[in-house]
Amino acid sequence: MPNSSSIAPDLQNSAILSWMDEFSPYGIITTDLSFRVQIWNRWMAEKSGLKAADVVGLNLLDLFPSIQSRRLGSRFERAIQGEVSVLSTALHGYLIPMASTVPEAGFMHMQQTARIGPLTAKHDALGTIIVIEDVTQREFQAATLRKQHEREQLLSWALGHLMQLMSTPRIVRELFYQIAQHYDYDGYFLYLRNENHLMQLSSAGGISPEARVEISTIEAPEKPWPTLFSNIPVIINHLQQSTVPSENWPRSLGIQSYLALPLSIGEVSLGALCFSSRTRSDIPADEIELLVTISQYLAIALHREQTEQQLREAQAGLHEHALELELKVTERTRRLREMVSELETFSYSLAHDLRAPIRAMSGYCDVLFEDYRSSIPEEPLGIIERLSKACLKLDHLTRDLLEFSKVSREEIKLGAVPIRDTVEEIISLFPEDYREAIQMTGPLLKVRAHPGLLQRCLQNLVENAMKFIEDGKRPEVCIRSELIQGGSKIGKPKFALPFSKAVFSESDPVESGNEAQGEWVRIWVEDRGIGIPPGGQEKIFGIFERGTSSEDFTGTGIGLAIVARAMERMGGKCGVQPREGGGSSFWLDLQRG
Amino acid sequence: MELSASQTDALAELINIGYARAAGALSDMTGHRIHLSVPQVAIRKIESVAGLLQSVVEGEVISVNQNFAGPITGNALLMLDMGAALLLNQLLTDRPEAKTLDAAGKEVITEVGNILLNACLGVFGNLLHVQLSFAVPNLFIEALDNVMQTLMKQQPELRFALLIHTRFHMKASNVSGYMIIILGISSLERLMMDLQKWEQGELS
Repeated sequence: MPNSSSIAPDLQNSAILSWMDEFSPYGIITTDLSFRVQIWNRWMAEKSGLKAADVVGLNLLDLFPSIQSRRLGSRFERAIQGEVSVLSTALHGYLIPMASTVPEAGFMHMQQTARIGPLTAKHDALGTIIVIEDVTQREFQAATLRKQHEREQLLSWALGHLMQLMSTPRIVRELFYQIAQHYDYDGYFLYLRNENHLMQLSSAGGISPEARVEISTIEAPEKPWPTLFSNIPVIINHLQQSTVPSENWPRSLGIQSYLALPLSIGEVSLGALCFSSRTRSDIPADEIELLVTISQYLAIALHREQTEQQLREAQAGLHEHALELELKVTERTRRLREMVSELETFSYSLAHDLRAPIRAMSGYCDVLFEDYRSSIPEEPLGIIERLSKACLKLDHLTRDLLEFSKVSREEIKLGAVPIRDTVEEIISLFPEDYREAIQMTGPLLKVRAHPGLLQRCLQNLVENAMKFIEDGKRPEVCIRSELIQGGSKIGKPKFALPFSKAVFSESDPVESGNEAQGEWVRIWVEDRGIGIPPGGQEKIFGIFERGTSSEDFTGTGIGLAIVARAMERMGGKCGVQPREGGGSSFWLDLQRG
Repeated sequence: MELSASQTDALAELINIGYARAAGALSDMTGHRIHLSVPQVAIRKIESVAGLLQSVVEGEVISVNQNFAGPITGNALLMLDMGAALLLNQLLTDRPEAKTLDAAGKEVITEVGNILLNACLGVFGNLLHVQLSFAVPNLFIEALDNVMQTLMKQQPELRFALLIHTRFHMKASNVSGYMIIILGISSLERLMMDLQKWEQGELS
């Protein structure tokens, strides 16, 4: 007796069979050796619409002749011989033609994967068994994913090309070939606004040359084809069947359906793009999404093209303007230089020509003073003395002016000049008892300068230091030098030209561009003199400026102007600052030699 | 156990007959001209198969395997690496190249394996004048090592492997894989005996 907790084999078997018939989620068919249907389970009945009673006993291959015509009959033959066959949906679609279970998928039949094998009992073949799996839903989803993937690729391709800054008509042309591969369009039209803001056919594909000529000659395409220029995307289907007058024009081209895409940025319409088909009369709404996205990117690319064009034109205009300005400036500079040169020549000749008469006047005063002293009373003698002094002053003035002119005009060549030598030369020019007032401290370096000009500068500074001191005090001048990096950061260049306050940088031997680089030497000339009134540090290098209006000090006021000019010509700078403990510290900056 | 040169040749010729049949079936099915190269055959102990194939087969392998029983018993596999499987799938179904093998793709490979294995085993069956019974083919995606380990564990009596290098040619491309027929010693001896008879039958 079988154990009550286990199931009898034949009960078990019939339970399983019953399950296979009623509940199996797969189609199960069995046949005998002549392929006559024995079992046709419930799944098969429901999905095929054929009841078991209608098919049992009939030859399966006769019931479904497409099996043979698709050359799948041999699988059944081989099953009888013991072979198991797998029939994949990708290669065959289906085995038994049945209605599709997913209508929206667009398959004509249910997609199936089937297995055919021998039905055996103890190694004898009894017939065949066929198991059918419905994979329609799975295949539909896979196809949808694939389509989506293709569309994304198309989109990224389009974007990639837009990024490459191709011209928009060219992009659309290439885009059309890509789109025509994936979607069923055979024509496209691209309209763009021209310079006169009129819509013009920029490019078209898939239409006959005659039609193209005809279309492109239409002046205002908005009239015959208003739909194309609406401001939202539009699908028109079944065009040939419609009688709407506004669609006469596209209808006459044989178009069955089309998609109109505006190309606009905000409110501004830049053009319109149309994809058309002469074979499809129905464009599904889900196709529109991708193409709308592409049209938006196209509009952006178009807008950018136009903006860039405008930018380029503006830049060209600016460039021209800049060139004009430069020319003007060069011209003006040239003229100013000429003027300055003339003025300098004038002042030179003036100073030069004045010297002779001044010397004559001075000479006559001396004659009067020496030869006729005894016969001239006190008062007129005093007048003659004052006259003589005035002549001397006039002489100094003209001499200094002459010096200034020379400094401005002379050709100079720069070389390495040891400061020490120059200072010693200067000291030697002073009377003996004054020499000890001039001290040099520390190592005095070499500078890149013109020896004559450098001497003139230092001499003027030292003379000033010796001259502008308080009554009764002994003069003290201290000269030293130090290395500094880069150009001087203290003070501004104080170069003044005679007769004008303009600052020039001439084409001197020293390039002003390299000022900030390299090593510089600062020469200090420091005194214990009367100092410079506050605010006067800049003005003092001006021509005819003196730090003091007092008559106690002789001086033409040109000395420092000469220093400033000479320094400028040597590519250096000069300046002054108050000295701690009284006096002034004048400095000269020159490149290290 | 080693095969002599003439035995190798005979085996290759035999399998080639099977391949011709399989190629014909595949060509019929797809409408494309498909050709299978004359196979290169070798016999090895099953333990050494993984080591041998590791260098030619990369990463995970797709194996379609089908047990068979009758006068000779064993397991027959078609083994491809993922790249080969994807390419084969693409070539046969005319679909664009995929990065992974989806359900439909797996079915296609199963069917191809099934056709190939049936063709070869069918030829063996003819040789031995017997019917072999076949099981439903299964597809696995696994590391090569695991596949061999599983086989050795489940059917320890199957000690020898016929390694058959297989190359599909279609549409100016080719795809390579291996057919592996695993047999026990007595099945192998039986096969070799009948092979010799067949060979001699040919000559005489």
